[in-house]
Amino acid sequence: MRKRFKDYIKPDTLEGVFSSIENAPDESQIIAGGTDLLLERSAKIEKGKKILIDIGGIEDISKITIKDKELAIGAGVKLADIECSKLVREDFPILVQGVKEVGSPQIRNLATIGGNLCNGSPAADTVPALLVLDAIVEIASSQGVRDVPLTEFHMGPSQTILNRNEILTLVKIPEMEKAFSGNYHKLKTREALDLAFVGVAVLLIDHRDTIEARIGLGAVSPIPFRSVEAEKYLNNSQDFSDKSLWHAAEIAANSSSPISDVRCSAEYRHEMVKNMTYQSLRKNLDQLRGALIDD
Amino acid sequence: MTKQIMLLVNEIEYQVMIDVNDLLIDVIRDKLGLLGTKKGCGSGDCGACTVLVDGKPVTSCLILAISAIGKRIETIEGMGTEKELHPIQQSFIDKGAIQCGYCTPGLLLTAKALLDKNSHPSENEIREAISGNLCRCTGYVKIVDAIVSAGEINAGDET
Repeated sequence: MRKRFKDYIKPDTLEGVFSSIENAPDESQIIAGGTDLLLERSAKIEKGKKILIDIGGIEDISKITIKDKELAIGAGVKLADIECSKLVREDFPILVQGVKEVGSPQIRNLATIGGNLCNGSPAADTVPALLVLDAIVEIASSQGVRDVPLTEFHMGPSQTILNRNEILTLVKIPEMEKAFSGNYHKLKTREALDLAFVGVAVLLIDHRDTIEARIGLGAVSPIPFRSVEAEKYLNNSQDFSDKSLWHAAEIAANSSSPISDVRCSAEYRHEMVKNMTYQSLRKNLDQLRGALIDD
Repeated sequence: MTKQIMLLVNEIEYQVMIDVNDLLIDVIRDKLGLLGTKKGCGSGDCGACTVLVDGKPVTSCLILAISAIGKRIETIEGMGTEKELHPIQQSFIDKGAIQCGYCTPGLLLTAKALLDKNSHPSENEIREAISGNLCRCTGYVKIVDAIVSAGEINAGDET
């Protein structure tokens, strides 16, 4: 049975949210788009949560802006609105790729970016892309605001560093000035409404003298993560030969810890991390070099 | 907790008593008696329960009725009448895009939302737009044809 709540509040300011939480910190459950929370099979809601606090009515966290050379996406922004945002489409296409992999158009019209992060699925499709974009999340409570790198936000499946009195308010992405090429590749069996077997985000940034590689992996460990070891190998050696790309891909696969489940085996996931990481490195390297020649 | 709320459905204001846990699909069907909206999987996977909220298709099984207060809800009952079908409905009939009919209300609303903002969608755009609506009968070919054809009729109306 779906979890039943005894009350529902929809504040229109963050202050309203904080005071509602403070009235009943142990009983408050934040709801944004609700597409995960309202599932009948959702067993993630902690016992004792009785009051739904809907943050869908707060304008401050429902817009996309550029501020101080950072793209700031409010936690309450719908995934469909990120997909359509000119700002995001032009400068952060890899994020659009990640967003478009979530659920279906109907779900993306409800689901929010903050919800995709806070739900804490190891296979959340927006996370590998946000990780390689060096995203920072802003966390707020009545006590104040703190910024945390996304790499430190997730603690395990369905677990985040959010304290009871805190909510995620903003996802911040540093502006990209240099030439770059990136993509998010999701291994799946159908085009929509599928969970990632493996998700690989690769971003290559051209610093003129050097190339910086960033690799984010999803669905192959308890939380999505950056394969720091594989990145270090490429970034320190600056060897972008085919052999070296394969080696980096192997390091990435070894840095994952996939499980076997109803959809596929751990061995298959491990092998596919290697293949997909290589393919993405190859493709983006070619694109980056092609762009340089075009210059 | 039960609350009396006002929902705007097909441009009619309904005063309705709901529980805060009630899903929009259940209120539409059981309390408003609008049975055109179908419940399939109940978990957002099939799209049969698609309704338009502020013009955008959403799965009404994954939204609380109480959170739809103040929003414009459109169900299949608002799209056309038996005597005067909406052009997209007529196009579905003409192209044979309906078999068992269970997915049809959701697909029609999804198609309407698409054509309202883009009267000449490409086949890819159509397939992407309806990717959240499962049909187990038709194989989608005739559904895509019907939407293409409805788009052409729409565009014809404008000129």
